Amino acid sequence: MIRYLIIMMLLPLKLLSVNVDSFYPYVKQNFLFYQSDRVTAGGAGGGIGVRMNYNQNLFSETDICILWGNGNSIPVTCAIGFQANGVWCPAVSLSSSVLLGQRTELLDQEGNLPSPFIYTINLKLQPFRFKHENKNVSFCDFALGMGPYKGNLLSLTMLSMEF
Amino acid sequence: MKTRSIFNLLIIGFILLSCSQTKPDTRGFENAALVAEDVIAENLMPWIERLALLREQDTPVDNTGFEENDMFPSSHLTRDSAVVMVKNAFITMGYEPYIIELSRNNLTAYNVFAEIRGTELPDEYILVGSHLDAFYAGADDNGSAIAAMLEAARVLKNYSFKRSIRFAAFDLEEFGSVGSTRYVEAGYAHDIKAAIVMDMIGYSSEEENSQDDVMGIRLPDKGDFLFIAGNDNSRKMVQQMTALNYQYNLTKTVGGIAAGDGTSFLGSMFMRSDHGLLWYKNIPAVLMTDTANFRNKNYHKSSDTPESLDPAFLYRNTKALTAATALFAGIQLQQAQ
Repeated sequence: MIRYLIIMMLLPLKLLSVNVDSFYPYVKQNFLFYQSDRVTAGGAGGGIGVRMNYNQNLFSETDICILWGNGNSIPVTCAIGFQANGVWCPAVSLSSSVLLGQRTELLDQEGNLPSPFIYTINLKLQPFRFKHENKNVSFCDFALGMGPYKGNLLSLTMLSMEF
Repeated sequence: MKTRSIFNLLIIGFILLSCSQTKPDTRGFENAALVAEDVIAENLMPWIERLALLREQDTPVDNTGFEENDMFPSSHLTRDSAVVMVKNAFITMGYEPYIIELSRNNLTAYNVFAEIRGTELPDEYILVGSHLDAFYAGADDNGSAIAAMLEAARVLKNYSFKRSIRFAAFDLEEFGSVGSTRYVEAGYAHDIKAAIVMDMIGYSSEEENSQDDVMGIRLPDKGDFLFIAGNDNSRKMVQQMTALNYQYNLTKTVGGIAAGDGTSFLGSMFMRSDHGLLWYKNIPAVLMTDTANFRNKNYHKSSDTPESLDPAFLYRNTKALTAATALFAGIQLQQAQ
Protein backbone atom coordinates (compact mmCIF):
# COMPACT_ATOMS: atom_id res chain seq x y z
CA MET A 1 0.00 0.00 0.00
CA ILE A 2 2.68 2.45 1.05
CA ARG A 3 4.77 1.71 -2.04
CA TYR A 4 1.83 2.50 -4.30
CA LEU A 5 1.20 5.76 -2.49
CA ILE A 6 4.84 6.77 -2.79
CA ILE A 7 4.87 5.99 -6.46
CA MET A 8 1.69 8.04 -6.84
CA MET A 9 3.31 10.90 -5.01
CA LEU A 10 6.42 10.86 -7.08
CA LEU A 11 4.67 10.35 -10.38
CA PRO A 12 4.27 14.05 -11.10
CA LEU A 13 8.04 14.43 -10.70
CA LYS A 14 8.56 11.67 -13.20
CA LEU A 15 6.12 13.31 -15.54
CA LEU A 16 8.23 16.45 -15.40
CA SER A 17 10.60 14.76 -17.77
CA VAL A 18 7.77 14.74 -20.33
CA ASN A 19 7.19 17.86 -22.38
CA VAL A 20 5.26 20.38 -20.35
CA ASP A 21 3.03 22.72 -22.33
CA SER A 22 2.28 25.09 -19.51
CA PHE A 23 3.16 25.64 -15.91
CA TYR A 24 0.79 27.60 -13.65
CA PRO A 25 1.07 28.47 -9.98
CA TYR A 26 -2.17 28.70 -8.00
CA VAL A 27 -3.52 29.59 -4.59
CA LYS A 28 -6.33 27.76 -2.90
CA GLN A 29 -8.52 27.81 0.14
CA ASN A 30 -8.84 24.39 1.71
CA PHE A 31 -10.78 22.53 4.34
CA LEU A 32 -9.43 19.06 4.99
CA PHE A 33 -10.31 16.50 7.62
CA TYR A 34 -8.64 13.15 8.10
CA GLN A 35 -10.25 10.80 10.58
CA SER A 36 -8.93 7.37 11.45
CA ASP A 37 -8.70 4.99 14.38
CA ARG A 38 -5.34 6.44 15.40
CA VAL A 39 -4.89 9.84 13.81
CA THR A 40 -7.16 12.84 13.38
CA ALA A 41 -5.78 15.76 11.42
CA GLY A 42 -6.80 18.71 9.34
CA GLY A 43 -8.55 22.00 9.62
CA ALA A 44 -9.23 25.02 7.49
CA GLY A 45 -6.71 27.25 5.79
CA GLY A 46 -5.04 27.78 2.46
CA GLY A 47 -2.07 26.95 0.35
CA ILE A 48 -0.12 27.33 -2.85
CA GLY A 49 0.63 24.94 -5.64
CA VAL A 50 1.63 24.51 -9.21
CA ARG A 51 -0.16 22.88 -12.13
CA MET A 52 1.56 21.45 -15.15
CA ASN A 53 -0.18 20.66 -18.42
CA TYR A 54 1.25 17.81 -20.45
CA ASN A 55 -1.20 18.13 -23.28
CA GLN A 56 -4.69 19.51 -23.70
CA ASN A 57 -6.19 17.04 -21.28
CA LEU A 58 -3.53 15.62 -19.01
CA PHE A 59 -2.21 17.63 -16.10
CA SER A 60 -0.54 17.19 -12.77
CA GLU A 61 -0.49 19.45 -9.77
CA THR A 62 1.32 19.67 -6.49
CA ASP A 63 0.37 21.87 -3.58
CA ILE A 64 1.10 22.51 0.07
CA CYS A 65 -1.38 23.95 2.55
CA ILE A 66 -1.39 25.04 6.13
CA LEU A 67 -4.57 24.35 8.05
CA TRP A 68 -5.70 25.37 11.50
CA GLY A 69 -8.33 23.93 13.81
CA ASN A 70 -6.45 20.96 15.21
CA GLY A 71 -3.00 22.39 15.66
CA ASN A 72 -1.13 23.24 12.47
CA SER A 73 -1.66 20.62 9.83
CA ILE A 74 0.38 20.68 6.64
CA PRO A 75 -0.92 18.46 3.85
CA VAL A 76 1.23 18.08 0.74
CA THR A 77 -0.74 16.79 -2.23
CA CYS A 78 0.34 15.56 -5.63
CA ALA A 79 -2.17 14.73 -8.31
CA ILE A 80 -2.50 13.66 -11.90
CA GLY A 81 -5.74 14.35 -13.64
CA PHE A 82 -7.80 14.67 -16.73
CA GLN A 83 -9.46 17.93 -17.74
CA ALA A 84 -12.01 18.87 -20.36
CA ASN A 85 -11.33 21.54 -22.94
CA GLY A 86 -13.17 24.80 -23.25
CA VAL A 87 -14.22 27.62 -20.95
CA TRP A 88 -15.96 25.18 -18.68
CA CYS A 89 -13.24 22.61 -18.05
CA PRO A 90 -14.22 20.24 -15.24
CA ALA A 91 -11.52 17.91 -14.08
CA VAL A 92 -11.06 14.70 -12.23
CA SER A 93 -7.80 13.70 -10.62
CA LEU A 94 -6.20 11.00 -8.58
CA SER A 95 -4.08 12.37 -5.83
CA SER A 96 -1.98 11.39 -2.90
CA SER A 97 -1.55 13.49 0.21
CA VAL A 98 1.04 13.36 2.91
CA LEU A 99 -0.29 14.83 6.13
CA LEU A 100 2.51 16.56 7.98
CA GLY A 101 2.41 18.76 11.04
CA GLN A 102 0.37 18.44 14.19
CA ARG A 103 -2.46 16.01 14.68
CA THR A 104 -4.41 14.21 17.40
CA GLU A 105 -2.98 10.77 18.02
CA LEU A 106 -4.29 7.72 19.79
CA LEU A 107 -1.70 5.28 21.08
CA ASP A 108 -1.95 1.55 20.75
CA GLN A 109 -2.33 -0.57 23.87
CA GLU A 110 1.42 -0.81 24.32
CA GLY A 111 1.84 2.94 24.26
CA ASN A 112 3.28 3.20 20.77
CA LEU A 113 2.57 6.29 18.73
CA PRO A 114 1.09 5.99 15.26
CA SER A 115 3.28 6.41 12.23
CA PRO A 116 4.62 9.98 12.00
CA PHE A 117 3.52 10.39 8.37
CA ILE A 118 0.07 9.68 7.05
CA TYR A 119 -0.35 9.02 3.34
CA THR A 120 -3.71 9.02 1.68
CA ILE A 121 -4.92 8.27 -1.80
CA ASN A 122 -7.76 10.46 -3.00
CA LEU A 123 -10.17 11.04 -5.82
CA LYS A 124 -10.75 14.70 -6.53
CA LEU A 125 -13.54 16.24 -8.55
CA GLN A 126 -13.53 19.81 -9.82
CA PRO A 127 -16.96 20.22 -11.40
CA PHE A 128 -17.00 24.03 -11.41
CA ARG A 129 -13.71 24.73 -13.09
CA PHE A 130 -13.43 27.45 -15.69
CA LYS A 131 -10.73 28.76 -17.99
CA HIS A 132 -10.19 32.44 -18.57
CA GLU A 133 -7.24 33.75 -20.58
CA ASN A 134 -5.55 30.39 -20.19
CA LYS A 135 -5.81 30.51 -16.38
CA ASN A 136 -8.13 28.29 -14.40
CA VAL A 137 -10.40 29.18 -11.56
CA SER A 138 -12.30 26.50 -9.72
CA PHE A 139 -15.09 26.51 -7.14
CA CYS A 140 -16.25 23.82 -4.74
CA ASP A 141 -13.68 21.15 -5.47
CA PHE A 142 -14.04 18.14 -3.31
CA ALA A 143 -11.97 15.06 -2.69
CA LEU A 144 -12.53 11.83 -0.88
CA GLY A 145 -9.68 9.64 0.18
CA MET A 146 -8.52 6.78 2.28
CA GLY A 147 -5.45 6.15 4.35
CA PRO A 148 -3.92 4.09 7.13
CA TYR A 149 -5.70 3.06 10.36
CA LYS A 150 -9.01 2.80 8.49
CA GLY A 151 -8.78 6.46 7.70
CA ASN A 152 -11.07 8.60 5.61
CA LEU A 153 -10.15 11.92 4.12
CA LEU A 154 -12.52 14.67 3.13
CA SER A 155 -11.26 17.76 1.41
CA LEU A 156 -13.25 20.75 0.25
CA THR A 157 -11.80 23.67 -1.64
CA MET A 158 -14.18 26.58 -2.04
CA LEU A 159 -11.89 28.45 -4.40
CA SER A 160 -8.63 27.79 -6.21
CA MET A 161 -7.23 30.27 -8.65
CA GLU A 162 -4.24 30.32 -10.93
CA PHE A 163 -2.19 33.45 -11.23
CA MET B 1 22.01 6.67 -12.76
CA LYS B 2 22.39 9.40 -10.15
CA THR B 3 18.74 10.36 -10.51
CA ARG B 4 17.67 6.78 -9.99
CA SER B 5 19.77 6.53 -6.80
CA ILE B 6 18.17 9.65 -5.39
CA PHE B 7 14.74 8.31 -6.35
CA ASN B 8 15.46 5.02 -4.58
CA LEU B 9 16.79 6.78 -1.50
CA LEU B 10 13.63 8.85 -1.34
CA ILE B 11 11.49 5.73 -1.48
CA ILE B 12 13.53 3.96 1.21
CA GLY B 13 13.34 7.07 3.40
CA PHE B 14 9.58 7.31 3.07
CA ILE B 15 9.12 3.64 3.86
CA LEU B 16 11.32 3.85 6.95
CA LEU B 17 9.47 6.92 8.17
CA SER B 18 6.16 5.21 7.55
CA CYS B 19 7.12 2.20 9.59
CA SER B 20 8.80 3.98 12.48
CA GLN B 21 7.04 4.00 15.82
CA THR B 22 8.18 5.76 18.95
CA LYS B 23 8.15 3.33 21.83
CA PRO B 24 7.67 4.33 25.46
CA ASP B 25 10.39 4.29 28.06
CA THR B 26 9.61 1.35 30.35
CA ARG B 27 12.23 1.87 33.06
CA GLY B 28 10.86 1.70 36.59
CA PHE B 29 7.64 -0.04 35.60
CA GLU B 30 8.12 -3.07 37.81
CA ASN B 31 8.49 -1.13 41.05
CA ALA B 32 5.62 1.20 40.17
CA ALA B 33 3.32 -1.73 39.48
CA LEU B 34 4.30 -3.32 42.78
CA VAL B 35 3.12 -0.25 44.67
CA ALA B 36 -0.25 -0.41 42.91
CA GLU B 37 -0.84 -3.83 44.43
CA ASP B 38 -1.38 -2.10 47.79
CA VAL B 39 -4.58 -0.42 46.58
CA ILE B 40 -7.60 -1.85 48.39
CA ALA B 41 -10.78 -2.01 46.35
CA GLU B 42 -13.06 -1.87 49.39
CA ASN B 43 -11.68 1.52 50.38
CA LEU B 44 -13.00 3.35 47.35
CA MET B 45 -16.79 3.28 47.25
CA PRO B 46 -17.24 4.33 50.91
CA TRP B 47 -15.55 7.67 50.10
CA ILE B 48 -17.95 8.26 47.24
CA GLU B 49 -20.99 7.25 49.28
CA ARG B 50 -19.93 9.49 52.16
CA LEU B 51 -19.38 12.43 49.82
CA ALA B 52 -22.78 11.89 48.22
CA LEU B 53 -24.46 11.93 51.65
CA LEU B 54 -22.58 15.04 52.73
CA ARG B 55 -23.54 16.87 49.55
CA GLU B 56 -27.20 16.21 50.21
CA GLN B 57 -26.97 18.28 53.38
CA ASP B 58 -24.51 20.85 52.07
CA THR B 59 -25.42 24.42 51.15
CA PRO B 60 -24.97 25.06 47.42
CA VAL B 61 -22.42 27.61 46.27
CA ASP B 62 -23.82 31.01 45.35
CA ASN B 63 -24.26 30.74 41.58
CA THR B 64 -24.79 34.43 40.87
CA GLY B 65 -23.40 35.10 37.41
CA PHE B 66 -23.47 31.44 36.37
CA GLU B 67 -26.58 30.95 34.30
CA GLU B 68 -28.23 27.58 34.79
CA ASN B 69 -28.97 25.16 31.98
CA ASP B 70 -29.42 21.40 31.46
CA MET B 71 -25.71 20.68 31.17
CA PHE B 72 -24.81 23.20 33.84
CA PRO B 73 -27.08 23.01 36.89
CA SER B 74 -25.19 25.77 38.63
CA SER B 75 -27.58 26.08 41.57
CA HIS B 76 -26.74 22.51 42.65
CA LEU B 77 -22.99 22.88 43.16
CA THR B 78 -21.64 22.02 46.59
CA ARG B 79 -18.14 21.94 47.97
CA ASP B 80 -17.94 22.97 51.66
CA SER B 81 -18.47 19.53 53.16
CA ALA B 82 -16.08 18.00 50.63
CA VAL B 83 -13.34 20.45 51.65
CA VAL B 84 -13.70 19.34 55.27
CA MET B 85 -13.93 15.66 54.41
CA VAL B 86 -10.85 15.64 52.19
CA LYS B 87 -8.81 17.61 54.71
CA ASN B 88 -9.80 15.27 57.54
CA ALA B 89 -9.06 12.23 55.41
CA PHE B 90 -5.52 13.44 54.84
CA ILE B 91 -5.09 14.09 58.57
CA THR B 92 -6.27 10.57 59.38
CA MET B 93 -3.63 9.19 57.02
CA GLY B 94 -0.90 11.10 58.79
CA TYR B 95 -0.52 13.99 56.37
CA GLU B 96 -0.37 17.64 57.29
CA PRO B 97 -2.88 19.07 54.84
CA TYR B 98 -3.29 22.77 54.15
CA ILE B 99 -5.88 24.87 52.43
CA ILE B 100 -5.08 27.71 50.04
CA GLU B 101 -7.93 30.22 49.78
CA LEU B 102 -8.00 32.20 46.57
CA SER B 103 -10.59 34.95 46.36
CA ARG B 104 -11.70 37.17 43.51
CA ASN B 105 -15.02 38.75 42.57
CA ASN B 106 -16.76 37.54 45.75
CA LEU B 107 -15.99 33.95 44.84
CA THR B 108 -13.51 32.11 47.04
CA ALA B 109 -11.90 28.83 46.05
CA TYR B 110 -10.72 26.51 48.80
CA ASN B 111 -8.05 24.20 47.42
CA VAL B 112 -6.90 21.39 49.75
CA PHE B 113 -3.35 20.03 49.56
CA ALA B 114 -1.22 17.34 51.16
CA GLU B 115 2.34 16.41 50.35
CA ILE B 116 4.95 13.67 50.51
CA ARG B 117 8.45 15.09 50.60
CA GLY B 118 10.92 13.67 48.08
CA THR B 119 14.33 12.44 49.16
CA GLU B 120 16.58 13.47 46.28
CA LEU B 121 14.67 16.15 44.41
CA PRO B 122 12.34 17.55 47.07
CA ASP B 123 11.70 20.77 45.17
CA GLU B 124 10.33 18.94 42.15
CA TYR B 125 6.68 18.01 42.57
CA ILE B 126 4.42 15.51 40.91
CA LEU B 127 0.92 16.90 41.26
CA VAL B 128 -2.02 14.52 41.63
CA GLY B 129 -5.18 16.54 41.25
CA SER B 130 -8.94 16.19 41.19
CA HIS B 131 -11.75 18.61 41.86
CA LEU B 132 -13.84 18.37 44.99
CA ASP B 133 -16.85 20.44 43.99
CA ALA B 134 -19.75 18.63 42.36
CA PHE B 135 -23.29 18.95 41.06
CA TYR B 136 -25.85 16.88 42.97
CA ALA B 137 -24.30 13.71 44.49
CA GLY B 138 -21.39 13.92 42.06
CA ALA B 139 -20.48 10.23 42.31
CA ASP B 140 -18.57 9.98 39.06
CA ASP B 141 -18.05 13.72 38.74
CA ASN B 142 -15.94 13.86 40.79
CA GLY B 143 -16.31 11.61 43.83
CA SER B 144 -14.64 8.81 41.86
CA ALA B 145 -11.47 10.85 41.37
CA ILE B 146 -11.42 12.10 44.96
CA ALA B 147 -11.72 8.51 46.20
CA ALA B 148 -8.92 7.38 43.90
CA MET B 149 -6.71 10.25 45.03
CA LEU B 150 -7.31 9.50 48.72
CA GLU B 151 -6.60 5.81 48.26
CA ALA B 152 -3.44 6.57 46.28
CA ALA B 153 -2.39 8.99 49.03
CA ARG B 154 -2.91 6.26 51.62
CA VAL B 155 -0.81 3.77 49.67
CA LEU B 156 1.97 6.13 48.62
CA LYS B 157 2.45 7.39 52.17
CA ASN B 158 4.14 4.08 52.93
CA TYR B 159 6.90 4.59 50.38
CA SER B 160 9.64 7.07 49.65
CA PHE B 161 10.28 8.84 46.38
CA LYS B 162 12.99 10.88 44.71
CA ARG B 163 10.57 13.68 43.92
CA SER B 164 7.89 15.18 46.09
CA ILE B 165 4.23 14.41 45.54
CA ARG B 166 1.48 16.99 46.01
CA PHE B 167 -2.10 15.84 46.24
CA ALA B 168 -4.48 18.61 45.28
CA ALA B 169 -8.24 18.76 45.65
CA PHE B 170 -9.21 21.77 43.56
CA ASP B 171 -12.31 23.78 44.19
CA LEU B 172 -14.85 25.21 41.73
CA GLU B 173 -13.75 23.29 38.68
CA GLU B 174 -17.35 23.21 37.54
CA PHE B 175 -17.43 27.00 37.41
CA GLY B 176 -14.55 27.01 34.92
CA SER B 177 -11.56 25.46 36.68
CA VAL B 178 -11.55 28.42 39.03
CA GLY B 179 -9.55 26.83 41.85
CA SER B 180 -6.79 25.38 39.71
CA THR B 181 -6.55 28.41 37.44
CA ARG B 182 -6.11 30.77 40.35
CA TYR B 183 -3.62 28.37 41.90
CA VAL B 184 -1.47 28.39 38.77
CA GLU B 185 -1.87 32.11 38.15
CA ALA B 186 -0.83 32.87 41.73
CA GLY B 187 2.49 31.16 41.05
CA TYR B 188 2.04 28.06 43.17
CA ALA B 189 2.66 25.73 40.25
CA HIS B 190 6.26 26.80 39.59
CA ASP B 191 7.64 23.64 41.21
CA ILE B 192 5.39 21.17 39.39
CA LYS B 193 7.34 18.94 37.04
CA ALA B 194 4.41 16.78 36.00
CA ALA B 195 0.75 16.51 36.83
CA ILE B 196 -1.88 13.81 36.74
CA VAL B 197 -5.37 15.25 36.91
CA MET B 198 -8.46 13.10 37.18
CA ASP B 199 -11.99 14.00 36.28
CA MET B 200 -14.61 11.22 36.29
CA ILE B 201 -12.93 7.83 36.37
CA GLY B 202 -15.65 5.54 37.70
CA TYR B 203 -18.14 4.89 34.92
CA SER B 204 -17.80 2.17 32.32
CA SER B 205 -20.03 0.19 30.05
CA GLU B 206 -19.57 -3.12 28.25
CA GLU B 207 -22.32 -2.33 25.77
CA GLU B 208 -21.57 -1.73 22.11
CA ASN B 209 -21.83 1.92 21.05
CA SER B 210 -21.70 3.07 24.66
CA GLN B 211 -18.78 5.33 23.82
CA ASP B 212 -19.19 8.43 21.70
CA ASP B 213 -16.42 9.98 19.65
CA VAL B 214 -14.94 13.17 21.03
CA MET B 215 -15.16 16.08 18.61
CA GLY B 216 -14.53 13.87 15.58
CA ILE B 217 -11.75 11.96 17.29
CA ARG B 218 -12.60 8.32 16.83
CA LEU B 219 -12.68 6.25 20.01
CA PRO B 220 -13.48 2.55 20.52
CA ASP B 221 -17.23 1.80 20.48
CA LYS B 222 -17.28 0.17 23.88
CA GLY B 223 -16.89 2.52 26.86
CA ASP B 224 -14.87 0.18 29.01
CA PHE B 225 -11.52 1.98 29.01
CA LEU B 226 -9.76 4.75 30.84
CA PHE B 227 -8.86 7.63 28.57
CA ILE B 228 -5.55 9.33 29.26
CA ALA B 229 -5.25 12.64 27.48
CA GLY B 230 -2.03 14.55 26.98
CA ASN B 231 -0.43 17.03 24.66
CA ASP B 232 3.01 17.43 23.09
CA ASN B 233 4.52 18.29 26.47
CA SER B 234 3.06 15.25 28.18
CA ARG B 235 3.38 12.81 25.29
CA LYS B 236 5.98 10.75 27.12
CA MET B 237 3.79 10.56 30.22
CA VAL B 238 0.80 9.26 28.25
CA GLN B 239 2.97 6.71 26.50
CA GLN B 240 4.43 5.47 29.76
CA MET B 241 1.09 5.29 31.54
CA THR B 242 -0.50 3.42 28.65
CA ALA B 243 2.37 0.96 28.45
CA LEU B 244 2.48 0.50 32.22
CA ASN B 245 -1.24 -0.23 32.39
CA TYR B 246 -0.94 -2.70 29.55
CA GLN B 247 2.19 -4.53 30.66
CA TYR B 248 0.98 -5.00 34.22
CA ASN B 249 -2.69 -5.41 33.39
CA LEU B 250 -3.66 -2.50 35.63
CA THR B 251 -6.51 -1.08 33.58
CA LYS B 252 -7.66 -0.93 29.99
CA THR B 253 -6.35 2.30 28.56
CA VAL B 254 -6.63 4.45 25.49
CA GLY B 255 -3.94 7.10 25.37
CA GLY B 256 -4.60 10.24 23.35
CA ILE B 257 -2.25 13.07 22.41
CA ALA B 258 -3.93 16.33 21.46
CA ALA B 259 -2.43 18.24 18.56
CA GLY B 260 0.37 20.59 19.58
CA ASP B 261 -0.12 22.08 23.01
CA GLY B 262 -3.73 20.87 23.01
CA THR B 263 -5.24 24.32 23.04
CA SER B 264 -6.60 24.32 19.50
CA PHE B 265 -10.29 24.01 18.64
CA LEU B 266 -10.43 20.21 18.39
CA GLY B 267 -8.18 19.82 21.43
CA SER B 268 -10.55 21.83 23.58
CA MET B 269 -12.44 18.70 24.62
CA PHE B 270 -9.19 17.30 25.98
CA MET B 271 -8.74 20.37 28.17
CA ARG B 272 -11.95 20.31 30.14
CA SER B 273 -10.53 20.02 33.62
CA ASP B 274 -7.97 21.33 36.07
CA HIS B 275 -4.98 20.51 33.88
CA GLY B 276 -6.09 23.12 31.34
CA LEU B 277 -4.02 26.01 32.60
CA LEU B 278 -1.03 23.71 33.11
CA TRP B 279 -1.15 23.04 29.39
CA TYR B 280 -1.20 26.76 28.70
CA LYS B 281 1.84 27.13 30.97
CA ASN B 282 3.68 24.30 29.19
CA ILE B 283 3.76 22.12 32.30
CA PRO B 284 3.51 18.42 31.41
CA ALA B 285 0.09 17.25 32.53
CA VAL B 286 -2.28 14.43 31.70
CA LEU B 287 -5.98 13.94 32.29
CA MET B 288 -7.41 10.60 33.38
CA THR B 289 -11.09 10.34 32.55
CA ASP B 290 -13.91 8.05 31.50
CA THR B 291 -14.62 10.79 28.89
CA ALA B 292 -17.47 12.33 30.92
CA ASN B 293 -20.60 13.06 28.88
CA PHE B 294 -19.20 11.22 25.87
CA ARG B 295 -19.95 8.04 27.82
CA ASN B 296 -21.74 8.76 31.08
CA LYS B 297 -25.32 9.82 30.46
CA ASN B 298 -25.64 10.84 34.12
CA TYR B 299 -23.20 13.70 33.54
CA HIS B 300 -24.25 16.73 35.62
CA LYS B 301 -27.52 15.08 36.52
CA SER B 302 -29.11 14.00 39.79
CA SER B 303 -28.66 10.43 38.55
CA ASP B 304 -24.89 10.65 38.99
CA THR B 305 -25.10 8.46 42.08
CA PRO B 306 -22.77 5.84 43.60
CA GLU B 307 -25.03 3.07 42.30
CA SER B 308 -24.33 4.14 38.72
CA LEU B 309 -20.59 3.49 39.02
CA ASP B 310 -18.51 0.43 38.25
CA PRO B 311 -16.46 -0.25 41.41
CA ALA B 312 -14.15 -2.71 39.64
CA PHE B 313 -13.36 -0.14 36.96
CA LEU B 314 -12.66 2.48 39.60
CA TYR B 315 -10.40 0.06 41.44
CA ARG B 316 -8.39 -0.65 38.31
CA ASN B 317 -8.07 3.04 37.55
CA THR B 318 -6.94 3.77 41.09
CA LYS B 319 -4.20 1.20 40.66
CA ALA B 320 -3.22 2.90 37.41
CA LEU B 321 -3.09 6.28 39.17
CA THR B 322 -1.02 4.92 42.04
CA ALA B 323 1.45 3.20 39.74
CA ALA B 324 1.83 6.24 37.49
CA THR B 325 2.39 8.55 40.42
CA ALA B 326 5.00 6.19 41.86
CA LEU B 327 6.70 6.00 38.47
CA PHE B 328 6.90 9.73 37.85
CA ALA B 329 7.90 10.50 41.43
CA GLY B 330 10.70 7.95 41.25
CA ILE B 331 9.71 5.18 43.61
CA GLN B 332 12.55 4.03 45.82
CA LEU B 333 12.77 0.39 46.65
CA GLN B 334 12.87 0.51 50.40
CA GLN B 335 9.61 1.28 52.18
CA ALA B 336 9.40 4.27 54.45
CA GLN B 337 8.37 3.85 58.05
